[in-house]
Amino acid sequence: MTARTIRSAAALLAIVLPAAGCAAADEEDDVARTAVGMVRAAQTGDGRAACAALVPRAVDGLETAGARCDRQIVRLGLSGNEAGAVEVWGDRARARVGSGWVFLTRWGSGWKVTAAGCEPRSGRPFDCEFEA
Amino acid sequence: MSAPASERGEAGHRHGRFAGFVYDNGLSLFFFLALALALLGQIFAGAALYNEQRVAEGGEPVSLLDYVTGSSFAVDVAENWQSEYLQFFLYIFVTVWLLQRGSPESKEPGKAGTESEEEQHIGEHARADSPRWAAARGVRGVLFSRSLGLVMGTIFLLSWLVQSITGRAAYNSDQLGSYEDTVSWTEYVTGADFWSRTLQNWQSEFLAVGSMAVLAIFLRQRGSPESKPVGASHGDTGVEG
Repeated sequence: MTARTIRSAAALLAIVLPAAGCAAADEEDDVARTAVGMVRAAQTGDGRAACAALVPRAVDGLETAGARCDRQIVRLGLSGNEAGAVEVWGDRARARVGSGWVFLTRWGSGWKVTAAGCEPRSGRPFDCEFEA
Repeated sequence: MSAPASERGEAGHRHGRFAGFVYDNGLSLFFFLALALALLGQIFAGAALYNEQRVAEGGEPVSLLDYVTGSSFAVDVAENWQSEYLQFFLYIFVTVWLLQRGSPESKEPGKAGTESEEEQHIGEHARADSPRWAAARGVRGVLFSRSLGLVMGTIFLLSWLVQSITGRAAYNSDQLGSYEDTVSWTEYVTGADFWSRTLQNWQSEFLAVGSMAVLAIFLRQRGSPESKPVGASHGDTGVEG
């Protein structure tokens, strides 16, 4: 195989693999970092940092009836210091942090949280502490 | 892709090599150009729709490049490709055995089957201008005699496989968007999304082929090889205009 053939094959794989849902390891690291960072910030009382990791609609969801996101998010009991399972499918991802799941969406060159503190329910969507 | 020199059109000789190439290959050039334009249109329209959905769900729009390399675009392309190649594979294969009396798409009654070596110009009946593998015996001869169906069938299976892989990725992305569990490949190919996408494409292909075979008995398109000559009888079978 010539170098040109190898480069062409690599370019083709770069197009095909994302379409097949094969996430790069560094992408999973980004997801894990964002999810754990948000949960840890909420856990340690840094509501402002936790809310900065959310998509605007999730912030809106926490700011109903005049409540402030940074005060609400620290009262949800989110906890966890590392990510367990991480899944990335296209522009969406989820990571298990502590006992709950965090759902994320691609945002610019990184990720933001759409829902957290989520528990599975049989045959229905996850039950989350908050969601976008 | 080029036709033999002896069959090239007058226009090619009068207007130079490029015009000659276009004249000789007009049919394939037209369809490949139409494919490129349709894909381009699908990219823009598909990205706009995808981003509408992203924004409605509280997400951020993605770039055109991200959309084109994503599973949503790939599954939409693959599900249509597999059904088109299935259509042509079946048409090539089924018309060997099944007839439609009066249709130019069918062989004449009495000719059902793979026909004799003499009729097919194979083996010792190969002509001077036959492809070399038409004269070959053994595996080469068998493969070449079925190469059109084999290649179309293989492309169908590969595109269907790609549909299953990219479809699962797109489905799982949607599942995460609605805070639901993801599925394995096996769960996906036995599930509703895969078969809904597959069958909605298949039914339209079967309708188009079936109606073409029947309508061409009674209707004509002057000058088209897909039609009988305008004055041909409704009962004439396997006659192309």
